[in-house]
Amino acid sequence: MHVRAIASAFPDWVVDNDTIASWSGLDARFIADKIGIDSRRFLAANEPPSSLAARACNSLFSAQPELARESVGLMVVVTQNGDYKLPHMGAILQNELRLAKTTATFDVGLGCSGYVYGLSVAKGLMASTGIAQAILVTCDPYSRLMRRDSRDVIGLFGDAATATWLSADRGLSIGLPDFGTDGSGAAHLIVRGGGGAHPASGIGIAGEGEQASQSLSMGGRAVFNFMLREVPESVARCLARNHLDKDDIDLFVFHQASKFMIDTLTERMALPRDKVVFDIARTGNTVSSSIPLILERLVADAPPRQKILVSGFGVGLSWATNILQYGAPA
Amino acid sequence: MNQAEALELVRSKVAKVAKTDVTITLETDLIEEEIVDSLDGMTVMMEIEAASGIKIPEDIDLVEEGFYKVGKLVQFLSS
Repeated sequence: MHVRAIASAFPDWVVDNDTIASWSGLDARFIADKIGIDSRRFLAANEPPSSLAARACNSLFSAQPELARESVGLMVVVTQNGDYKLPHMGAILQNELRLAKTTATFDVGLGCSGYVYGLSVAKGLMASTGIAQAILVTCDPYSRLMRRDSRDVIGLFGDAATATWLSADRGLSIGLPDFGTDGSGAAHLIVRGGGGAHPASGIGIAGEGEQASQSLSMGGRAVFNFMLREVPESVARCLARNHLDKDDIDLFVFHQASKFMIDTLTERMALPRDKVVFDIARTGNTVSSSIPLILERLVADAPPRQKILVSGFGVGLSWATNILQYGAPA
Repeated sequence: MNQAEALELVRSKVAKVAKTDVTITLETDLIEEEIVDSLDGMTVMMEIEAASGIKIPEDIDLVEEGFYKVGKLVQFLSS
């Protein structure tokens, strides 16, 4: 299976660092210099997440006339922030995009590792069912989860959606993955309220009266340590599974967490800086969309036989690494 | 690790991360005195953990708990 093309969409509302500073007291210069973000986009209050995802998909259909809507046999949506608790966003999108009723749709509830997981989920289902055309969607608007005065997260995340066309015949082949989970760190990146453990108010069952926070909480140092502990090992395992060496990789596309984290990871792994892609200046950390946003440019520009390592890490805590490559068997 | 060894460990790791020689005492506050920011502070703690084998708790707010005050950090490492 192959990554054939990628399209993206952003909300219209641009939030600059001065605005973030006014909400939270964070230093605007610190956000630009250390986090690597000048501005980001947030969904407007009246704009449902699925509308952003639909824009990314429609952009993909417009740019790729070979991809007929009725030919899409599978749509996998990576999100933790659908329009509703249920149904899943895939169902909303099937209707909105006028996909065939025979299209299989489901959501994958992962964060920053979700795109790399989603590639293998779609690949496996396509291979086992004979589906020839699939779309992998990412859309996880964390602006819906962040208190505006939360200094831990408000300067970090931005909203975006991407749509990746996965095809059986040609494009960037999807290699053998490395996956991992460490649920002992679950509390370090969490929204406690609104789930089954702490339902929303008014449900009238256990937990009523003790409202858990419905906003995102992040233990920054724990997530930082987790990244430096797990990602280098995941990269090494993935390279070994694909019979490749670190030097064989042309580009490393890590989840675009922050400038500080990617710089530190690059230094710790002794990677050549010109092989490590980083660009979130005008997007912020867009969760599961961060890797495909980078790939969107690379898929269009990549020379034949280029090998791209992708690695996502975050909520769970979880991680996933894979190799994308032109000219290799999928 | 005694107090003097802990102080030297903290000084050397702060200097490494800040990429400059630094003079610190038990009264120094690494954040308040802008010797490191909160992100570089995470690297300092990681370096100290790796060198000492002592685990600094991940589930606490280091600023609120005073771990960027050198005296508190040294006391933790040498206790």
